[in-house]
Amino acid sequence: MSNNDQWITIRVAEAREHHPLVTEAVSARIGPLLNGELSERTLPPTRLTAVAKALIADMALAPPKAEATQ
Amino acid sequence: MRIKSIQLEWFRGAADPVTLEPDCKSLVVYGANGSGKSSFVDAVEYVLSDGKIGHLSNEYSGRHQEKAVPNTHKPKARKASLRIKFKDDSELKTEINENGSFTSTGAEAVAMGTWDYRRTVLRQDEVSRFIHDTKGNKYSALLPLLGLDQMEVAAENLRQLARSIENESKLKERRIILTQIGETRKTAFGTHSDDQILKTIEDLHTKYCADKAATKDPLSRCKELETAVNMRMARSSADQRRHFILQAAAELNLKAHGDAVRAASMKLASAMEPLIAEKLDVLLKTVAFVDKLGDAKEVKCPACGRSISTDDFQAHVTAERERLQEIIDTFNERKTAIGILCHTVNSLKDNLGKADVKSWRDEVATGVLADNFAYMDGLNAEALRASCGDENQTALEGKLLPLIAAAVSASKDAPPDAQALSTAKRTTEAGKDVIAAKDQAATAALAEALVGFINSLEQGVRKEIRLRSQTVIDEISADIQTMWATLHPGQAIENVGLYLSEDADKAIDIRLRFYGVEQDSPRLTLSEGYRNSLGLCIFLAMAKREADKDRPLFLDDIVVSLDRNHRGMIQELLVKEFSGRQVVVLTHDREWYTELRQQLDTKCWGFKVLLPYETPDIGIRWSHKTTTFGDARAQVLARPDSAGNDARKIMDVELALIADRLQIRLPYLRADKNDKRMAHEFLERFIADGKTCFKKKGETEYSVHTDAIDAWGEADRLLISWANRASHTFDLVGPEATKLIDACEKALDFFKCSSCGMGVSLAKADKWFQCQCGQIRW
Repeated sequence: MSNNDQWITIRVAEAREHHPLVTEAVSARIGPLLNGELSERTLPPTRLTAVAKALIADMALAPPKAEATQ
Repeated sequence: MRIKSIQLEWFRGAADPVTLEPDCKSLVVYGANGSGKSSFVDAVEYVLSDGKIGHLSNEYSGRHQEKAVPNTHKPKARKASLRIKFKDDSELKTEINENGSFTSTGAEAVAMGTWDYRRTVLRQDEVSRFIHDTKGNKYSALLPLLGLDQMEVAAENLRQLARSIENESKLKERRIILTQIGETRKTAFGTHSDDQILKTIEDLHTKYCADKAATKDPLSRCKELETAVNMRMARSSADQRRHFILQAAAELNLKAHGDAVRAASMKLASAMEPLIAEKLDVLLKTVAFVDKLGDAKEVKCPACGRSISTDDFQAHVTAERERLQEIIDTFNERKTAIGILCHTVNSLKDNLGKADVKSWRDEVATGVLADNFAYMDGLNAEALRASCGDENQTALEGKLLPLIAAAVSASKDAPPDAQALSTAKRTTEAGKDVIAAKDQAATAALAEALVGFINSLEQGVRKEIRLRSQTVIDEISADIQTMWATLHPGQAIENVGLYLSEDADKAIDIRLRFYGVEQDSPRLTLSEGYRNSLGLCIFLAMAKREADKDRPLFLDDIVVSLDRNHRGMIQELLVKEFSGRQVVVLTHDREWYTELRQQLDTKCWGFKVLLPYETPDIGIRWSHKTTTFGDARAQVLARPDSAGNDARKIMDVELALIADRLQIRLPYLRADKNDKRMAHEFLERFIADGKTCFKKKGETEYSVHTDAIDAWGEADRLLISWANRASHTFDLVGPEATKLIDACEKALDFFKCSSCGMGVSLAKADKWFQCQCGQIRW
């Protein structure tokens, strides 16, 4: 992506403004992701799932029981 | 990276090796139709498009175009091949196998395969393609130029990530559960607030759990209440227990759950039109297929059998998956509804199978209801889960609803204390669900927020793309406008450029102002010729964005639909905007070629002429001359009169351009006759003026170039007698045509210096024109 990644910080802040429940941990994770692998190639479903799980954990969301036992 | 040479061997029209040698300069190639000039452009496209040539994509050319790419007369032992040599002397070698597959080696640093075809080559049939293309395809064509493809990837990944979060957090399921709890709450508590519900639970807790007054947590209170109420129920009389059970059976809403299954089934049926079924079938095949693709560049679609690029194929599968997501959701919805129905059936079986209601069953199980009880006892709910068709459901409702009605009827005369206990149990269960749902709701809200955040971020990235695109598009538009103004000076079509469509993402179109009226598309007003002209401007404006890459441009027969004035302006455009770029112009327009040859700076431009094509065995051949007499010579045997005519036409154009350069004065003629002067008129003037003006350098001083004047005289005589005969009586014979062509060629050669090879066209201190070395002077 662009050398100047200031815009990412701005867009993340904007999105968070609209969704105040989103935690700082999520913001901290998504910025580098957006500047890195999310921009580099179309991610395969397995990788997207892993990123989704990490973000859910950052939100401190209790995963449903069925998933927790997996 | 500039190109030194392109060599073809048994590739398309080529037979034995034939080489186009721009030698890193720009080049104009003239060739009559079918002479093979496009074979060189095909070679470039073959390399840029990974072994595919767009205009050969048809059902007859074979999977790898093996029936179209090699020369039809290629000997078995030979291979079709091409070699492209670059400025740094690296060379790309490509050999094509019998089955059309190919191997390429060399020139790794140049990585020509990464060049974008759409910004390297412009062919006659592609000139207005951009204009006619969809807004989305226009956007795709521009995307690499915008330099924002990574941002597009990011936006798409964010979109998919939001879906993954929805799936992983089971958001849809949570929403369904919360909706169900909302219904339960409404039934049990009406419009009561959370505080009122807690108060109700507190009161019940005080009543039934007096010994546990210390418990304050609402959920714990519910659990204690549940235990206490169940214990009381268990300790009740047989009559009361019968009432509890019948009450529970009576409350089962089998009808509503059955209707839910029916509604979901109908929704699914309407979506399962044959087309959708077909798509599902294709999807099932392709999903499995995609997983096995690995690094393959191309794949044969299992549905239609066509060869397509792996990227396109995967994008197609993703799009299909998304389109079918709604159906998958409906499947799940129906599955959930069937699950609830099965659970209700099991509850009914459990309740009405209990020993406490045996006496009631014996009492009512007469006549029809006896059959109903027998049906219920024999019912396998799990089998129902697997096949819950409309017929099964009708039978189920027909048999079980009368049993529930009987339970409702029997539960009406329940003693008040039994009714109170039943109500307490029901209220407790509902209260427990409502209180527990608070956590569910909070979790769902967090998941919703996360999904919403990712969606907002995607929109933010798209907004950023739009902002940046606008900047680049404005720059490209300014170039288009400049180029358009060069091609069409003083014309009332202005403000030509690109714009981002307001009504769709990833969409670009072309606007212009037509005689003061703003137009959203050139297709509304522009003629075909103007569209082609605009298409050329757009191609060149986009190519200009990559000036720093110093890649060559190939313009193949792009002036076909342009008139003489606009054609002439293209030369100005190339000089003005692309003097620092390698441009290969291929044309079958002899007049335009001659104009370019006369007007373009030979320091930067080379000129080559292809001989007319004879047979595939002979292949593509170059003329040794830069003039186009080869066309005329090719016709000497079969059509000598045509050969003579061609010679005269060549002389008309060549002499007109030389006269223009040397500022020869001719009497004014009315209307457009000035533009249609014949070779004879020019030669007459050259001979007359040349006797004093055209000089050749001797040992020490200049003297009149008598050899030239003699040659012009000879050509003029033959043109008057034989070319006129060729035109009017068609009785020119072969030897005469040959002599005429030779004389014309010789006459023209005298305008070029035999020492330096340059024409007598350089202005020298406003006094005379001379060649590069000064050997000849006018």
